[in-house]
Order: sequence, then structure tokens, then C-alpha cells
Amino acid sequence: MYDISKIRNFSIIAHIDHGKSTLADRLLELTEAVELREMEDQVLDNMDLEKEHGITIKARAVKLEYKASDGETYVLNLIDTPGHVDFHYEVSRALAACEGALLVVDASQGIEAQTLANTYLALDGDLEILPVVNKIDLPAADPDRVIREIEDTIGIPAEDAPRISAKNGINVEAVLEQVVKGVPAPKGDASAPLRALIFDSYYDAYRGVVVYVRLMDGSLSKGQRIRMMSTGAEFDVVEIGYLSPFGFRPTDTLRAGEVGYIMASIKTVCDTRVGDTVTLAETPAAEPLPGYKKANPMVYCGIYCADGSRYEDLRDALDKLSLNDASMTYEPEHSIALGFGFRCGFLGLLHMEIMQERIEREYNLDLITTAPGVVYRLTMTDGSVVYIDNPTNYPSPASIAEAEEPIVKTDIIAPAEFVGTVMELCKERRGVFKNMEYIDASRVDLHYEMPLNEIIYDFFDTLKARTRGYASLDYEFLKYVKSDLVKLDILLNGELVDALSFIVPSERAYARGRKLAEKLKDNIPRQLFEVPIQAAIGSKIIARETVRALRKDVLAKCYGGDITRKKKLLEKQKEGKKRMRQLGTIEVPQEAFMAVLKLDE
Amino acid sequence: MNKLSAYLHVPFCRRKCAYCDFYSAPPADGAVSSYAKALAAQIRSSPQKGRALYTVYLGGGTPSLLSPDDFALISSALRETFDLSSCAEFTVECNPESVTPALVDCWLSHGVDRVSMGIQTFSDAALARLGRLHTAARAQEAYQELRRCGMKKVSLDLMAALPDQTISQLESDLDAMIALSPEHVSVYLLKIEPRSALGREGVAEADEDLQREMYLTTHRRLTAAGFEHYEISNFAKSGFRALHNSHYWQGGEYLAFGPNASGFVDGVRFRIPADTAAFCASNGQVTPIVEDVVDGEEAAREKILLGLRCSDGIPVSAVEPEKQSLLQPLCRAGLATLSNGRFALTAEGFLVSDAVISHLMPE
Repeated sequence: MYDISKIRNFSIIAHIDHGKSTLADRLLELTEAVELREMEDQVLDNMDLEKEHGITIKARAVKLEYKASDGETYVLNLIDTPGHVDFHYEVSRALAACEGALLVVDASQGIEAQTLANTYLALDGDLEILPVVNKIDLPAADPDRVIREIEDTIGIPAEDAPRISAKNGINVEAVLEQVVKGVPAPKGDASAPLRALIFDSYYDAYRGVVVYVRLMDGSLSKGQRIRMMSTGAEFDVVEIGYLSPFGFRPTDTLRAGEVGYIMASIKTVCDTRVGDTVTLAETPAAEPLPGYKKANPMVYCGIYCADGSRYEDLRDALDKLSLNDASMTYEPEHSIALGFGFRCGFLGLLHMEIMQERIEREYNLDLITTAPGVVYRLTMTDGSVVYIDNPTNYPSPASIAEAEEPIVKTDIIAPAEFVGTVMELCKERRGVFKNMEYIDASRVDLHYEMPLNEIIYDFFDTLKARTRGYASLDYEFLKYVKSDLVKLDILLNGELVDALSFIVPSERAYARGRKLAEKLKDNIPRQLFEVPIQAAIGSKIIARETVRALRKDVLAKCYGGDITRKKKLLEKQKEGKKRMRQLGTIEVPQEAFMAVLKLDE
Repeated sequence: MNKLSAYLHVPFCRRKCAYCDFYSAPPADGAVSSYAKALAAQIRSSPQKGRALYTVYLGGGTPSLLSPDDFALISSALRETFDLSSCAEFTVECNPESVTPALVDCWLSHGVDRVSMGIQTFSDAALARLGRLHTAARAQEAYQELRRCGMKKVSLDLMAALPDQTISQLESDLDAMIALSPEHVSVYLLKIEPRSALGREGVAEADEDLQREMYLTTHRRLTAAGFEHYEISNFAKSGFRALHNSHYWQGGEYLAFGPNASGFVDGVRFRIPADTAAFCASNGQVTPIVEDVVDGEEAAREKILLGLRCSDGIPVSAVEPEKQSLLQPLCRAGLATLSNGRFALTAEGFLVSDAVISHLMPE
């Protein structure tokens, strides 16, 4: 029976490893949505990769029924949110589908940067925040400290926060009671024109696009014609229903306040953008729901096949993956060094890494990727404005009036003892210090404005390394800022290698150029000819290295019994060379193209 | 009919040298004789019976461990099975310590016209380190014995880049060898095989730059002394190139007799199983192991692999057209020469020949 007052829509905010998925499992168990024996670990994360990365990439939602201590049965819709910095916008839309959020904090570790960032997102969306202290059975657990920390940092009461161990099933029931009592019932008018918020969608080879929605107003029935308000695209609804952890439960009608799915023979997720509003074609809503924006890629790189003959397979992989990921862009490009490939845009570094891994794993392709770069905004001397996402296309300095680079708002939470270290690192990376807050006596939240360009060069790994893994990071696009940029080129044997060019602040050019030349020297094996390596800005050489020619590579004896073995050996050697790129007379291994990625080691 | 050679293997050594990982074993009492009988039987049962042999090479192991009687048995089997009337070269390998005038007389009487003797170095300390059983003085003596008996063609083996060897030590070895005036010389850069005694001791190969220097020093010394550097490790006075080995490098066919001997007949490269006991027990009637079938494509690969080892090189047309663009840069770098439509490596090129070959071999 539909009763909007008995619906609770909520999500869980937690740092990686703080127990979000485990808690979700326990909630499902308690509401008997999942039979124990059927249950795979952590049912909400259903992509293998997610499990490996320990993160959730695509939001999912599950409908639970719970008989509360007041004797009433409630419908609890648990909406999962992506847990990583690159998916900020998607998180904000998933939260917009909820009235409340559980803030799960590890009793031994306290609040982390992403948790805090997502909590602020939830507070901005007027969500009720319900703190939960998890892992209370750990020896290092200090729930009192963590509760004080939540109260001090976020400014919400937390003394009633359930103290639980999701892993060992301690006190989890209290969480469900808290949801029923603390999360407001949705508001919304089931008789108003339909407005349903898309908070996730994905492509399924058999069903087409499956759209996850939260109905804000109105109702939707099977067979009706729907319209996407941002694009105007219309579709006939083939099936609607609720989401169970193990599949779709079709129903006839969804009403205001409910969460469910729509299937409408939609071919691509580009038509079902997260944040868009679904309405009825016949009786459309006057205004879409607020907050929609198209997620624009922030990080770009070139993706090529190690085996050039598999270009079509790469195209196929990107075509298929994009069915499921509207935020990844790709366009064919050609590199003199690497042949035919694609310029791909991603929301952030992690998004990029995940997609690269998926291409390699799911499509069995060996990739060469060029250094990731950001989008520069250039005002040309003729007044026109261009955005450059590929260093190869960077115009000559004489034609640029002003160059700007993207700056991100950066939050870093670290133990107080590492404040100096973090500040030093941020300074090295051209960060501008804004302010700093003590979360408690031992932990600090540092706010910086940093060029995104600096963050994508190994920043997170370096941050982790220098803080012994304790620091956490969150960033968000802020603005474009004028910057003194130059294009750094690499020449091998006097020939420019386009795939190795990159844009760098001019103050960094010499150091980066020298380092890259050294790295390349280490990565390019000796060969028949000497290989001069040069780093250049325009026609000016700023660094030079040489890979000496091979000194000795000869088998002294080759008589009757040695011929076959020798031939096989040389053939094997030749096979290894296939993994190298031939640039004129020089052979460059794939690793050399990746060397630029690890310059700061 | 293609020219056909024969390789005979003697799988015994009194002691294994420290750098060796070849198949050989110390002979038990009577083992050499029973082996010689099996070898003779294998020769007599050859499917190529009746054909003319271009060259014969008796290698090892240590062929000089064969007694005159054993040798006579094998030689007769060869003569009675094949036509040796036009045999252009009959080589026996030997070690200085086991060569005797009686044995050399025996070889000569059976048509052997060339001996290849492993001297390795004229330093007694280095010889001991290498596990050799002879001394420098014995090597000199053995050489003189060969000459006194009337052996016309003598080839001497030398090793370079021995553990702790200096350039000047190598130079004195080269000078001592030149002074003996052999017709042919082989000089090998010592390669430390992981399974050899030196390898197991953890002895490292000499520094690449030193090996290079030694190789080029050898080239300069020997060419100055009138030797032609005609293959990566081989040098000959005019008219004295090793015909049998050159036959290998020209892709010629050869029969294989004895355990672990390799052969190449009708496009098939094969090997006699390396099991002396089984070989003797079956009286030489063992099934060869096929190692490779050399069809047109493989033959083209082998032509480059083998041809580029020799100073005669290969015709430019043997290189695939799309790879020919590499030839000029190699010449400019001093690694090769191009003349009269032939492409050949220089001494500097020989030093990196594996890399050159793997570039030029067809895919």
C-alpha cells in the first residue's frame, strides 16, 4: 500500500573502509530483503573492480521493508552513493533523492576529508544527518572522542548516535529505528505533474538503459510516454518497478516519494543524464527540478593500443563503455609516435584509472596512455577563446594573449603532526593556502586552492606516502586562473615525439624537462644506435641525455648444433620488440611513454 | 645433389672444463670402445648411405680420447658407407694433453687433414682456473708434435675475457699464438653459462666495455698478422677457412652421428638424443629428435642469421624491402658495409650482431 508517510529515503555517507558496505549488508539482513545464504559479501557493490578499489562507482538503490518498534511497517529506500572525489556531482544527485543520510564514522579513525565533503553536500541539500559510530569493538575504538569530533566539526548533536559493529552485527537494529524516527517522510504531491530525479542510470545489453529515479511529484505508470527535460528526448515506458538487491521487481505505478527504475528502450545513457528530470510528455511539469548540470570531463589523456592493429577493438570498447558512462568523452586522434588512438576525457584521475582498467580487463586490450592533462583556457591575440585538452594542439606562444589553468578547491584532513609536511607538499605543488581548522586536538582540515594540473601528477600518492597513509583528500573545480604556461617537448634523435609533449608552468619547465629526460634514459634500452634525448621549449633545448649504443650483443659460437636454439632466441627477442614503438631507427618501449606519469618519484 | 657433410660427436671428457655446460661425461672402463662400436654401427645404417661427403668433423667432448683402434673402426665405417673420394676437409678436435704422435699418425693415415686444438690461453694460472688439464708448455709441445707428424692444417682455439684477464695478457696470448703460425684461429669471448662450474661459483662475465676492447684488439692483432676475420669468432690465413663450419653458415646439409650430435637434412634440423648409455645399448639405432622444420620462410631467416655471422655477408635482396632502410644507417654507424650488392658486418658490427640480426630477420 502506498503511504508516503511511511517512506524513508536515505543514503550512507562513509569513508572508504569505514564500513558502509558491511552496514548495508546488515540492514538488508535485518529487513530480510536478502536471504543470508544467498548473500554475497557486500551486495551493493556489484562490479568486480569496485570491490578491488574498495569503492563504489555507480550508485544503486535497494527497497527494504522494516517493521519498526512502533508496530508500523516502513518502506526504506537505501540509495548508495559513489565514494570518491571524482564523482562529486553524482553524489550530490544521489543525496538529492534522499531526505536523510547516515554518517558512518569509524570509531578508531574519526572523520575523513571525503566524508566531511559529502556531509556538507548533504547539509546543503537539507538532509537530516544521522551519525553512526561503527567498529566499536575494535581495540583502538574511542567512540566518545569520535562523537565529540562529529559535534565539533559538523555542529550536529551526536550523543544519541548508535554505537555499532556492522561486521559483528552489534546494535545494528538501532540504526533502522533511527532511520524511521530521524529521517523525515518525503514530501510531494502525487497528483501534480510528474517530476522524477534521475540519480543513476546504466546500460544493460538486454534491457537497454535502466534509469534509477526518485519521484518528487506526480506518478508514473507503465506505457506512458516520458520526456527528459534537459534534452527533450521522449520514450515510451516499457517497465517500471522497485529495486531489490537481486533484481527488478516490476510494478504498475510509482508515486511521489518512491524510488524505482524505468526501462524505456533507451539506447544510451547520454539520454539519461544524472540530475535530469523525467516528466510526462503529455502533461509535462512547468519547471525541472533544480541542480542539473552536465558533468564535464576535467582530466584528459590519449589512449592507444599497444598493438596498433587493434584500433578498431579499442573503438568498440570505448563505444560500449560510453553506453554506461555519460561523463567519459572520447574522440579519435592521431599521434606520430603512437598511431591511431583516442583523446579521452574523465571526471578525474580515479575515473580515468578505472576506465583504463576496464578497457584492459573487459576487452583484453593492452593500452599505452599518454600523460593526463587538464583543460587550459587560452585567450588568443585575436580575442578568441579556445580550450585545449591536448598538448599537441597547444598553439605557439606568440598567438596566445593569456593562458589560464583550472584551479580546484582542495581539502586535506591529516593528523596534526603532518601539518608541516602537507603544507610543504602543497607549496611545492603551487597550492595557495586558504585556511586551516582543527577538527579536534589531533587532526587538522587544511583548505587550499591548487592547480588541478598539480593534483593529477601523482599528488595523492605523494600525499599518502608523506603522511604514512593518514591524510585524506577531496577536491572540486573552482575557477580558471591566469598562469604562466609553456609546452615542453621531447625530442628523440632530434625528432619531436608528440605523445610525450606536455604543458607545464614555466617555473617548473627546467626541472621537469631534466627529470623526464633522465627517466626516458632509464626507460629506453640501449640499441644499435646512440639515442640523444632532448627536452625543449620551442626551439630551446633545456635538458639533454644520451642512451649509449649497445656495447656487445653477440653469441660467440654458432655451429651445427646451435642454430635452432639461436634462431628461437632471436625470434623471442624480436617478439619482445613488437611491444616497442618504432620511431625512425629508434625503438621506444611502452614504459617510456608512461615515464612522464611518475616524474615525482 | 646438395653438398653433404658429417658431424660425429664424442661425448667424453676426462674432466669437464669450468666454463662448459655441454653434454659430456668421464669415460668408464671400456666405455669409449663400446661407444666407438655403436657409432660405427650408426654410420653404417645411415639412410644416406653411398652419398659423397663434402667434409667430416669429429668433435666433442674430447675426440683425442679415442684410441687408434677406436678411430680406425669409425673411419672404416665412414669410408665403407660413404664416398670420401672428394672429401675436402676431415677435421678432428683435440686437447693438448691427450694428443700423441701415434694418434696423429693414425689420424693422418685415415685421411684426417686438419686438427683443431683447444689451447684457450698460454697462462698456466688461467688454464688451472678454467679446469683445463694441460699447461702452456704442453700446448706448445703438442703443436710441434702435430707439425712434426705432418699435419698440414692446424686451427687453434683461444679464449678472451677470462676472469681477471687484462688486455695486455690477452695480447701476449695472441702473440704467442701468432708465433706458432697456425693456418686458422678461433677466438671466443668467454661466456659464463649459469650451469657451468664458473657460473655456479658466481663468476661474472667481464665488463661489456672490456669485452668489446678485447674483441677489437683480437681483430686488430690477428688481421695485422695476416689473418682474415671471416666469421664472428674465426680467423684464417688465405685459403684456410674452415670448410666444414663455413658449410653450416651457408645453410648446408650435414649428417649427425653420436649422442647429442645435430644434423640438417632435407629441411629438417634434428638431434641425436643426448644419452650415451641408450646410444650404446641400441648400438647406435636411436630415433633423432626433430628440432625444427626449415621451410622457405625459416630458410630466409636462417640465411640472415647465419650469413651475417660471416664477413661475406648476405645479398641485399635477402633483406625484406621494408627493412632495407636500416642498412644505410648501420653502415653510417660503422657497423656494416654495402658493396657489390652485398651487406656485411664489420668487426664493430659483429659485436652487436644479435641485435642487427633480430632487426633484419623477417617477422
